[in-house]
Order: sequence, then C-alpha cells, then structure tokens
Amino acid sequence: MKNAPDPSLPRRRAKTWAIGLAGTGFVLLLLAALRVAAGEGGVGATRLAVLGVGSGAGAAVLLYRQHMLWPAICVSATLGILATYLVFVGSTAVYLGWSDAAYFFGQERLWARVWLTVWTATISTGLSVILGIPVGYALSRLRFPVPRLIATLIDLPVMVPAAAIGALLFGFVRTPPVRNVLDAMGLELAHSATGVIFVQFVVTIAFAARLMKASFDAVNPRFEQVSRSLGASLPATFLHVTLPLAKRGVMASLIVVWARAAAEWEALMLFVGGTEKQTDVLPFAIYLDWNGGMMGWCVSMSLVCVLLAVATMGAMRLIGGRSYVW
Amino acid sequence: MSGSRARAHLFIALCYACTLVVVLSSCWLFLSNVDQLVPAETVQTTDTESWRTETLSRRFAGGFWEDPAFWRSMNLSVFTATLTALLAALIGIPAAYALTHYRIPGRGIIDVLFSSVIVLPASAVGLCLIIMFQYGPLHGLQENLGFQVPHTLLPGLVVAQLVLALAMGLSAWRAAFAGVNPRFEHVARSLGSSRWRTFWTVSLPSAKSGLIAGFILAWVRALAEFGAVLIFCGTFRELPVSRFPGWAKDLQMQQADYLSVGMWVEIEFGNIEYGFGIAFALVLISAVSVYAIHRIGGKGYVW
Amino acid sequence: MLFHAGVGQRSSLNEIKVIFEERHPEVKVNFSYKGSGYFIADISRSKEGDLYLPGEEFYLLQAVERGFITDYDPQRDIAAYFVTVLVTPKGNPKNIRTLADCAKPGVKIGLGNPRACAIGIWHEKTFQKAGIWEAVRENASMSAKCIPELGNAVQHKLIDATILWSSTAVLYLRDVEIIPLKAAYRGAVRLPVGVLEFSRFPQEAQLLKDLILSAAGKEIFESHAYAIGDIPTDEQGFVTDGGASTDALMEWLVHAARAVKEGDLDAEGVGPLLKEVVRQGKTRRSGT
Repeated sequence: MKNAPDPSLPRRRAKTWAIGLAGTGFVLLLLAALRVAAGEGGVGATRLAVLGVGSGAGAAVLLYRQHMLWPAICVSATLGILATYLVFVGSTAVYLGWSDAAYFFGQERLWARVWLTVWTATISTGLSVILGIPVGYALSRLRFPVPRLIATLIDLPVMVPAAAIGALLFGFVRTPPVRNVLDAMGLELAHSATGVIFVQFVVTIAFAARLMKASFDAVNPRFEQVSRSLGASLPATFLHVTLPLAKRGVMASLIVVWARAAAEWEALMLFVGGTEKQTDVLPFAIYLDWNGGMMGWCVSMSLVCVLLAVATMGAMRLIGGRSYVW
Repeated sequence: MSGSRARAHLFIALCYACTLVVVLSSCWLFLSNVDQLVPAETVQTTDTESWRTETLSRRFAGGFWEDPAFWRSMNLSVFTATLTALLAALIGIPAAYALTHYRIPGRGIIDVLFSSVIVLPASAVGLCLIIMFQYGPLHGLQENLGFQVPHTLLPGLVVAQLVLALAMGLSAWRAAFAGVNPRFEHVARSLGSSRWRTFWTVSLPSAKSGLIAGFILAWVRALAEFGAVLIFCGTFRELPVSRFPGWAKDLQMQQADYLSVGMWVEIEFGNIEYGFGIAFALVLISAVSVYAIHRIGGKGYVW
Repeated sequence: MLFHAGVGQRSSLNEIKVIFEERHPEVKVNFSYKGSGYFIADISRSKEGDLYLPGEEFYLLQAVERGFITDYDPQRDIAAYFVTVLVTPKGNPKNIRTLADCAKPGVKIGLGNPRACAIGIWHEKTFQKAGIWEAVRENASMSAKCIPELGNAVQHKLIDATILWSSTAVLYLRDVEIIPLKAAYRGAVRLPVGVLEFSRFPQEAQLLKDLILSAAGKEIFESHAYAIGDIPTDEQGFVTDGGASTDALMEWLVHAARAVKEGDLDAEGVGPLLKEVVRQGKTRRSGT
C-alpha cells in the first residue's frame, strides 16, 4: 500500500485548503478579468491575475501531493462547463431584463408561436413514433443482411447537416414516387404548417427508430420467449409483454423526439420558407426576427426554447428512461 | 396454431416493411437529388450590372472540385471541426468521468442542463453566443485586450461548433464510462494504483471504443453545425486576403466558408448545382463517419 | 394567395396586408420571405406564387427576362425608394462623421457581397465615387450576403460603420446612430412590384398591387422610412436634385434615432416615423 495515502485528518484538511485556494484563485482571476473589461487594466489587474494563478497553482500542488489532482481536474471540468452554461443563458436573460421580459412574455404573438411549435412537434412526434416502433422492433429483434449499412442509412439523416437535408428535400418531393403520393394526398408543403410537420417528421424518424431500438434492446428477450411458449402469438406478445416492459424507454424516447422536432430550424429555412403564422415555429421565428433586428423577440423566444429544452430533459430524467442511441 | 403463425409472419413482415420504407426513403432522399447537379437551364447574362455577368460555371455540380475556394473551405471545415472535437474531448472526457464516477452535489440538475443543450435550436445557440460575447463583461474584455470572438475563424468558428459538439460528445463519453464495470476500477485502486493510474490503465482502455466513437460523434456534429455558425460567424469568402491572419493563409484557409454555410449561400445565390455538389460532399463525409461509429460499436446515451 | 417578398419589407407589407384583408376579406394573403436571389431559383422550379416584390429591381428584371412577369413598367410599378445612409453602432465609438472617415485605418467596415445583395453594389459604387474604395476594402471586416446581416453587425458592435438602406436602418433605431450622406453620395434605389405570370389569382394579385402603389400604400412605406414620390436620379442611381426630395427623410431618421434612445416618445421632427418611434420606444430591447 505504498501509493495510497490514508484518508486521515491531514488529507481532509488538505482538501479543504485546496478547495479554498482554488476558489480564491478563481475569484481573483474573475476580478482581474472584470477590471480589464471595465477598462481599468494595468498593474492592479495584472497583480490580481498573478495572485489568482498563484493560488490556483498552490491548490494544484497540494492536490497532487495528496494524489487527488485527477479527480479535481474532472470535477473542475464539470463545474467549468456548468458555469459557462449558466453565463451563456444568464447573459441572455440579463440582456432582456425584467421590464422587457414582462412585455414580451405578455404578447400574444409569442404565445401563438409557442403554440404552433407545440402542436406541430406533437403531430410529427406521433407520426415518427408510429413508424419508429416497428422499425425499432425490427432493428432490435430481427436479422438483416448488411446490418451496419442499414444502420448507417437510417442514421444518416440525423448526422447530415440539417441544412443539407432541407436542400435535398426539394428533389425528394419533386421526383415521382413521393411526388405522386403527396399529390394524391393533396398536401401543400411549401409555406404551410403541413410542410413544417413533414420536415420535422423527416428529421426525427431516424431518431425515433434508434431510440425505440434502444428501448426494446433493454427488454430481456426471455420474457418474450416465455410468453410465446405459453402460446401467445407474436403480436400479442409484443403488445402485452414487450411494449409494457419497454414503456419507460418508449415514453422517454417520445419526449426526446418531441424536443428534437421542436428544435428543428435549418431544414425548414431551406425547404419550407418563412410565412407568418404558418411556418414560424420558435427556432425559425428566432432567425426571422433576428433578420429584422428585433432582438427583444429573439431573446425572449430563445429563453422559451431553453426552458422547453430543460423541461423536456427534466421530464425525461423523472421518467428515468436512460436509453442508448447506438 | 396456423393462425398464430400467420399473424406472427404478418407482424414480422410489417416490421421489415417499415424498416424498408425508412431505409429506402433515406436512399431516395439522396438519390432523387442527383439531377439537381446537372444544370437545368442555360442562364442568359444580363448587362444591367457588370458584376452580375460573371459567368457561373454551368456544368455538372458547378465543377466544385476544380474550385480552389471549395478546397479551402474543406480545409477550414475539417481543421476547425477537428480542433473543436479535440477541445471537446479535452474538457468533455474528464467531465464525463466526473459525472459517472464522483458524487457531485446536484448531479441530476447538471445532467439535465447539459443534455438540454442537445435539443436547443441552433438559432437560439447562435443568438445566446452573440449576446454573451457582445454585451457585458466579455465584450469589455475583447475591447480592452484587442481580440474578437464573433465573426472570426479562430476562436469564433470553434466556439460556435463547440456548444453542440461538446453536448453530443459528453453524452457519448458518459455512456462509455458508465459501461465500464466499476469492479475493475475498485480492484485496481485496492491494489494500490493511484486514481490517475487507474483512469489511465483501467477506465480508459476499457472505455476506449466508446470514447473514440464519442470523438467521431463530436467531430461529425461539429462539421454538421450550421445555424450557430451562420449567426455567430457569417461568411468569409469575399473578405480581402489581408484581413486573414498568417496562419490561416499558411493552412490555405483564407477566403473560405464553412462548408454547410457555403452550401446554403451558393443555393441562395441561385448557384444550385454547386450548392448541391457541396451538399453531397457533406453527405459523403457524414456517411463515412457514421459507418465508422457503428463499426467501432460506440454507444451514446441520448441522455 | 402567395406573395413572394424580400424579408426587409416585412413590416410594411404586414400593415398593407391588414388593410387589404379588411377590404377583401375573402382573399387570404400568405407571405413567403426568402433571400431575393433564391426566389428566382425557387420560382423557376416551383412556378408558384402570385405577386413578387423583391428587395431590388434586378431580381424583378430577371423575372421579366424569364417571362414570369410581362407587364413591368419601371415608371409606374415602383412602390417606394430605398435611400442609402451611413450607420454606426450606438455612441459612434470610432467617431465616424463623413464617408471619408470610413477609410481611416483601424475602422471596421461592413460590406455587402455584391454577388448576393444590392447593398453590396452600392457600397462599391458609393465608395468608388468618393475615391476611397481601395482603402475601405482593406478595412472590410465582414462581407454580408444580405442586408439584415449588416444591420445586425452594427447593432451588436461587430463593425464600426456601414451603409444601409434607410428602411433597414430604421429597424435598429435603438442600437445605432444614423448619419445622412451628402447628396452627391446619396443613392435612391427602386422597390418594384409585379404580378407573376402563372398566378392562380391574377385579379386579386392585381388588386393588392394597386393597393401597394396607391397613396395609402405609399404612406405606409413612408412611415417605415422609405422615400416616396419622384426622386430624380442619375444613371447610377445617385440623387441629382441636391438631396431636396430626400432631406426631410434624413432629418426624420436622425431625430427618430435620438428620440428612441432618449425615450422622448412625442418628439418633434420625426415626421411619419412617429409610429416607428413609439413602437420601438415601448421596450428596452428592440421589438416590434
């Protein structure tokens, strides 16, 4: 036990010291940065910065001697990302300010867009999931020739830049088999909410299939075998055994697919085009208003998007679905 | 039991059919656009403005592979995406390790916040970045230290890509570490190995394929970035050469656009064939990367 | 009815749409906003749409050339004019007063990409006329592909000065300073409108076009800082009357920029821009 230091009092004390030193260093560096930002740089700020770096280095040395440098690095990376995220969202909120927040969040125009986003995303999620469940089941339980190629083809629409998907959709809807189907259904895609739903469906279907596969993978096939051996048919087994067992995963996937659909913008911009009250779902509306310099609107809508994203991910965590995509 | 048999076959057939539909549509999405690469019409040149008459090369895919600007764009995109993925790995792997191995107070909330970035619209990301860097202390810092983040090749492009690439990478790396059996690590620790050595000799090798897959994922996501780059960095192609720093010229990245943004700009200009040429180049890169991820067998939480 | 329009004209057209739908409740107008260059490609492929109002005459001429519009009359079909103004971020940090200041070293200038947007050509023309094009080009720190991109860059202090249309600059009253150009360098650019040949509702489209060209329509454009009436220009598009027909607009703009920033909402001297001033004065951050 040569290397392992015993977890005794000095060690804990060293830890406290290190946290204190690192914290002080961080605060000093922050102060220095703020002074420079306010245009009062010079010797004072340099001194603060040197002190800050010094105490940070002190903390590092202490931690190194206690063999705790690695955990400290890991934890500070996490906290660093967290802090950056909070600044990222916080600065936007501060930019808007209370009075403007009250004004913009009281506007009907904002809520109309939120509502549009919610219902289009809900419909497209429904469609994606209806198609995604059988595909996910097939990927999870059935055999395929060239499985990796098939997996790649299914995943591709998720990984190609969404803007490219938007461009490629032009050809997709204007060449015969698809075009005939769309014509027969009488769907008007450009400049309409139908088009929004279509685009959201296209970019989330692959996602839904992947997630469903992950949910079904998590179900132990033994249960299905038992059910089958007791005489239940395959569809019955699927409905009464597999699906209930995968319920959590399926619910979680639903939420993720919904969130992804509600965040779609680039493909919309190219394929559907901006029309007030038809295609201006939140992410797209942000871009449209950005082009008119209407920062108040953009920022309040961005904040709604952030809230939606956090809420959906929070809901997903509450359900406890933890699914692998690949 | 023949009815049950038939129903089972029907069910399986349905599943296969749905999969087939999805796979075929995916293929069709790409194949149906091949004709866009071929010039549809000859464009008459107008003599209203001299600059308009510059002849767009109306040939297959706009002849993009012969355009030096395309290759400069490729350099730029690959270079910055790689840099982004490396940076993301540098920050993300330790963070993922911390999130899976250490008890951090409020970890649930941190998890939710980090994963929420993945479903944040790119337009919101770009907007928040602009406000973060152009208002408040960070703007003062840029003014007084004489550097600029938005609308620059470095660090601007990398910052815009990093947000989503890091979020994606984190989820994959977290999955990779969570997949490592903690017993091995316990054994290593109890045999006297330090935490650093345990990480280096046990956790890292066992999570290797997942970590590499996560790196590729972050790289592809960075390369696929469009919205945030468009809002945060704009285009560079028409700027005078003198505005680019020396290293950019050395690496042949001056006067080039990020590929996805370049594609959009070309399509907006009406240079459709060229734009679709770039789009297909992007599809090809993504396809190879996704295949590589599957090949390596990486896993990623969606959170 | 589908109306292809430049994004920049959105606020004026929305007002016109309201009036139109009041008069003709049976017609529903849908706008499609895309970059002007993209329209031609889009329209050529889809052959959809009824009315076309691009942010620049060139695109309309292209549509005429391809036979999408047959009855274009460059005298009659002009809804309004854009007028060029010099714009700097709030507080004018680099102290830009004249066009010549843009050539000073270290000033970050935003230029438009002449391949993509009309303002890009105007930058080139204007600075060339002033004889400082080479120096300004070296100062270029961005090359925008559409005019809102330039507006945003000024708004967010990414560049120190640029030239914008009056109607674009007015959207950013809160965050920019507006400096009128001398009459010799001031450009006036036509904003044309035309009914598309393959329109499914040609009569309704003609009605809307007439409304846009009527006095009521022009009044709306004027309240969004377009110049209306006849503006004499030379071949290149610079005003030739010593600025007489556009001086008032310039004065309104300068007053309006000050009024919005000072919260002086019943300011004198902002003319028809009052509505815009009141609207932008409502919030701390620019909204509509």
